[in-house]
Amino acid sequence: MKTPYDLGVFINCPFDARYRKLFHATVFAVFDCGFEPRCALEVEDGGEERIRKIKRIIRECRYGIHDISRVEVDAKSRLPRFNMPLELGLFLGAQEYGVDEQKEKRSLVLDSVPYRYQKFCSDIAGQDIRAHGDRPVKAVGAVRAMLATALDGFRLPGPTRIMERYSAFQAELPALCGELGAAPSELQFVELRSLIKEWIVDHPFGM
Amino acid sequence: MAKKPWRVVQVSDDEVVGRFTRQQIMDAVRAVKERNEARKKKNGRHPGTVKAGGADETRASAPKPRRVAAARARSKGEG
Repeated sequence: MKTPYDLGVFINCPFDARYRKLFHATVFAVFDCGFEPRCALEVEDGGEERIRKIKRIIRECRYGIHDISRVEVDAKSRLPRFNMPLELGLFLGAQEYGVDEQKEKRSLVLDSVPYRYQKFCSDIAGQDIRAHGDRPVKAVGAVRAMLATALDGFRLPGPTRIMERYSAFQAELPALCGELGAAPSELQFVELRSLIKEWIVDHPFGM
Repeated sequence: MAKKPWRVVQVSDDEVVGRFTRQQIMDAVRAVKERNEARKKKNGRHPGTVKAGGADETRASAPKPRRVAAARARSKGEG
């Protein structure tokens, strides 16, 4: 029987508006493959130190999806962001130095351009690294491929089918938000995650 | 001494999800599904699907004017 740890997928990616399309498609794909997406946005608790929260979530997830594509310098600060590589390092460290189930951790590293990581983070060579070209269908395909290996003998739909279902969910999202009296842009991560989860339960494959 | 496994927290069964209860979210999903199914029954198709060239064809699915012009040019042997 799968435990919450076996089903936990830590999503380590940018949370800005520019990445939202890929982020939401990834969250949907993780659920559609039967797993539980987790990320730092799920706890809005000012009392919990951010890094402690991230370490706790990493500890509770067997799988990690790390998007390190945001390497360019920020327009305002003129500095790059290091959060994603830092969290990837924490995840790999937990796998290396952790005990028992922590040793079974699996990572998927995503970038927008193939082999670009060799120029800015060459030490991660040897991990499962895929390029998504900023296209949700490619990110979904990579996520599905990683999670499919965890499901012995259980068939998963292809990335195109998952994207079709995601598009159907997106088309219904304004109406779903209308029912809840909230705007789609105002949805918190936990709310969106729960909406996706219940939608998938109510719209199983083949329906 | 055997080491203790890491603590695992169950997150999927939270009763309150952000500003809503899980029940409210489930009700919203069912209400929209039922509404869509009723509309589908009435119209004979899913409200999200678009008939090609139909009266309610959306801008996103309509052929782009430049593509239409190029196709016309090709058919006249000008392309």
